[in-house]
Amino acid sequence: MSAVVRMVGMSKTYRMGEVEVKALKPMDLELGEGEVTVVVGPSGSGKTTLLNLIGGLDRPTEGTITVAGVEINRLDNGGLTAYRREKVGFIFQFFNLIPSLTALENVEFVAGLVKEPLDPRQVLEAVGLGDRADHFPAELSGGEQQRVAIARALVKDPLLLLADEPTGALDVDTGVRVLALLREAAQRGKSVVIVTHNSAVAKMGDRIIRLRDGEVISDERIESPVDPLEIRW
Amino acid sequence: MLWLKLRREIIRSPWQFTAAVLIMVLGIVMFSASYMSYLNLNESYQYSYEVLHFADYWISLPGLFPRDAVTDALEAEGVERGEARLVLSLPAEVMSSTRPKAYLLGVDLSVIEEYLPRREEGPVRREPKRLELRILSVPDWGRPEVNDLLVVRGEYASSPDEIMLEYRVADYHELEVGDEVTLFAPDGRERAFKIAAVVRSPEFIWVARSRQDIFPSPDTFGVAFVPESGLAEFLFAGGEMPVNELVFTVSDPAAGEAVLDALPKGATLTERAHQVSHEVLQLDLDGYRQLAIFFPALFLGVGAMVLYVLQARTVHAQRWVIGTMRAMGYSRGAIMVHYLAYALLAGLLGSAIGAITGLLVSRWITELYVAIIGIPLVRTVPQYGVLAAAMAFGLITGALGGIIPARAAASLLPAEAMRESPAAAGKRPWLERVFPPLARLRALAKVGYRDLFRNPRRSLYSVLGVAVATSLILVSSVLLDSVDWAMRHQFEDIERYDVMASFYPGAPPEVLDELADEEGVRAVQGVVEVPVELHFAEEVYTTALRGLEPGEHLYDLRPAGIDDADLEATAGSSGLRGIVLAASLGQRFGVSQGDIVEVESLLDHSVRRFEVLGFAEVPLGALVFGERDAVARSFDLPELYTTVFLTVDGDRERLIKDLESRPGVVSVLDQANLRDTVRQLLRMAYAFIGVMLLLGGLLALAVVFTTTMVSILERERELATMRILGTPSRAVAWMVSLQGLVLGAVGLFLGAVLGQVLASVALGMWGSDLFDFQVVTYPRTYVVTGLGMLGILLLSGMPALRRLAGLNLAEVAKRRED
Repeated sequence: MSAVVRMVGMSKTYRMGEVEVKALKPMDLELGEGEVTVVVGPSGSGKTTLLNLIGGLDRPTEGTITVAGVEINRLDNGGLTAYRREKVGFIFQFFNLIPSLTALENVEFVAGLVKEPLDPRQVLEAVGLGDRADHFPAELSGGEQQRVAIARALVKDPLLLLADEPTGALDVDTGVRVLALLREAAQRGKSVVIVTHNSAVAKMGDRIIRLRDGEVISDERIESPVDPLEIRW
Repeated sequence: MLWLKLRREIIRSPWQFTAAVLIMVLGIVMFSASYMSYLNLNESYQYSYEVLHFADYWISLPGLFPRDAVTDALEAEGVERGEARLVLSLPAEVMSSTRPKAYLLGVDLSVIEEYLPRREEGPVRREPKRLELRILSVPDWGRPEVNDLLVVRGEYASSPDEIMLEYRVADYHELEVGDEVTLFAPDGRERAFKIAAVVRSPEFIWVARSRQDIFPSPDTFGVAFVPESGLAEFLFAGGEMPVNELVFTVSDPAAGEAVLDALPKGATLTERAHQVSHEVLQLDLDGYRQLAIFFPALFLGVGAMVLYVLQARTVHAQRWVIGTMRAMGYSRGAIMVHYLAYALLAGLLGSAIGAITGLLVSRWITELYVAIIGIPLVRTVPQYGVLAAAMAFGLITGALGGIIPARAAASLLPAEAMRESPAAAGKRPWLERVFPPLARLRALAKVGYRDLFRNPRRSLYSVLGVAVATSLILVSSVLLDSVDWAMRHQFEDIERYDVMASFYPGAPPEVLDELADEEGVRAVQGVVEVPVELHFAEEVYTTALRGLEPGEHLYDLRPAGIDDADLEATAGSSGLRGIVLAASLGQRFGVSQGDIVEVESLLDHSVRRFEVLGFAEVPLGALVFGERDAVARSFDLPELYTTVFLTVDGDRERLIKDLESRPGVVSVLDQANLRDTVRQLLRMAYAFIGVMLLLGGLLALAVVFTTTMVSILERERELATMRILGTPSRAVAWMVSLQGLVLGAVGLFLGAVLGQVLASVALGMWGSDLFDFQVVTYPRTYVVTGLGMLGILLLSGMPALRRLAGLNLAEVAKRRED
């Protein structure tokens, strides 16, 4: 399995007023193609910081982060925007759909940004929402909204799929269906990173990275990940 | 603790609070400054009237009468003070200063002299100058019982050889106490009077020659007061001076008619409300008062709206905080007071700053106004009431803006408040259903226009804010455009002559031929004017019937809608067949084309009846027109021209001197000079529009800044998500800016319409037989206003765009839905 993301000596330090916060201590990590990586840890452990750095929403204080051969820590703002547009699909805890666009239009919104998108309607059908395409987010359930968000992330056919607490706002049944979609995406070759504090979700990962106080305390590869539909919490 | 929270919230977003306070300050300054000035001016008028015993009634007698024959009428019950006097216009000559004059259209411009060409320094050169003086007799002993005079310089006249000049004509010609004024009697005799005093009169706070000429230049017209014995010696060979006018004050309004009934038939009564000076000032003052209420009300309405927008946003964003506070035990009342406090504080601060600033500005406005209009006595009133009202308006505005969000905050249940708010509803706007191609636009464009409909109330506030600001700028520009157009129409299109000479009793045709042959004279037009009274169903109106020769266009009615054929049509076989009325007369008296109007000549009191054949749209001068020869035939007049218009190629000043030296010339008006000054003044007046532009601009800036900022704050997560998904920040900025511009454009359009309506209401308010102005807007006004507002829209959107550019995408995207 080839590495899509390579982090070398990467760390992140914030200044909050007078205080310096070491959000991530120097770490070396690689993420592979077609792999589901679940990052778990308590609040403040650095999970979201790690996701932001991989997603090009933030820059490391030290070290490098290379995605598909491009050292993204060297990119300017425009370069990072283009990187996010072309390579990364984001899935948020609270879905972050654009309320004034229908489900299909939300997917088309992203499709319109990239050169060779997938067919938005087909992607929406693939996440089981073909019949809800013309509904606005306010007319959809939480699970449906998250599935639209996944379709939106997938339509650009990204290298990376980054999900920050994707089940955090969903009930168990809906949550596991969303996780199943992410597993399917990985099976199609996407490198999927799921950040969660829900240890049950970790069971579906090909790899589980545990963080505490900005440090990787364990990096475990799972030979037989659990089928997401069998997970309960 | 809640106060600490409030203070920190204000400190955290100081610009929003400042914007809200600024709007309040502007509204309160406008209100307090203009209303205090209004009260001061009104008080000063009333005080001047009271001290100088301004008359309640004027009765013009149908000719000259011995004093004893008419003064008994003043014994009627209800008459307080009365005076019988002689009023007449006489040609006069003064040694006038040759320095440039700062005077135009009834306004003494010396108060704004720094904007005018500098006066020459050094000794005053003087030349004889002919003008018309309205002479009013005053008692030999003691002061007039009614319409007393305020002596500005010198001593009240005490000798038959003395004259007192109204201050405008004195100042204009730079005449001082001790200088001489020569009066010419109708029979050609002349007599020099020494200026004993320069005075102000309550009857001539606004100097008008007549209702038809309310802007006479002191170059050719002035008012003077002469002791009765002086007039008796000069005009009546030392016999008793007859009188032709009664003036009196009353304790009972019915006394006016009672006095009139006791006088010979033909006497006409004018009540104070229709006295020209008083009426002009009252129109001005009424307009001022209306504006003093109207514009501040607009500002404060917008202020309340802005506070509502801000507080509604705050309450929505602080649902969790409110829930927590309620859970901790804060009462509904405490929550309500807390969220109302922001708006009240903005109102209180705005009104305090506004009221104090307004007090200072009002003093300046009052001084300027008093100096320009020349109010005899100034009395300012304590302004506690206005100050209290200003503070109250500020608080009420704050309360109006804050009450709904505060109540919403107070009524939130703790559990409900802490629950996640439902996702913002989205739906296809009606525009998309009406215009389906919109649905095929790119998704980013769809987000852009659908957002305008997503929160219609917020969009409406943006539109209203821009509309009010635009209308504020536009209404003053349109008023000025309308006045500019009317003045140009009057002084350039209709009155096309360079020089106007008035003759008494009139100039024979040979004089016109002589004038036409004078060197430098290009064209000459003689007209006949008959002083007349028009008798309508219930009212009598004094004006002049002007006889014009078709084909002669130095006084040109064609731009007023009356061509030569219309004028010819007024002539019948034995005189006038019909007449053309100034349009303002038609409106005032409800006369239509085809109606019959009774016209009484004031020369011989003969009465004729004429059909109204048309109306002339003349901005100034409510005259009646007819074909020249027909006018003369109808009223059995000799072949004499009372007024001669000339256009001049050569030395105008020499011609004017020449005209003034001719026998029978009462006055000569340098119209070309007047025209130049009008142009100069109007150019200067546009500078004052800058003040309105500034006020409107500040309002628009504050409103658009607030609504754009709130709009960005409400959509921060959505906009951050777009950026995360890869939308270039420039595209997001464009979308947001375009949204602002689209709302701004709608606001501009509404503001343009509102501005026109307001201007037309204002002009309609002033509209009378004295002024008849049409609403005119020059294209450049639209262009300048549009560009100005566009600049303001772009400027006010910049802080919001800067905030957008600096968003912490990761942090914002993780937030719950706001």
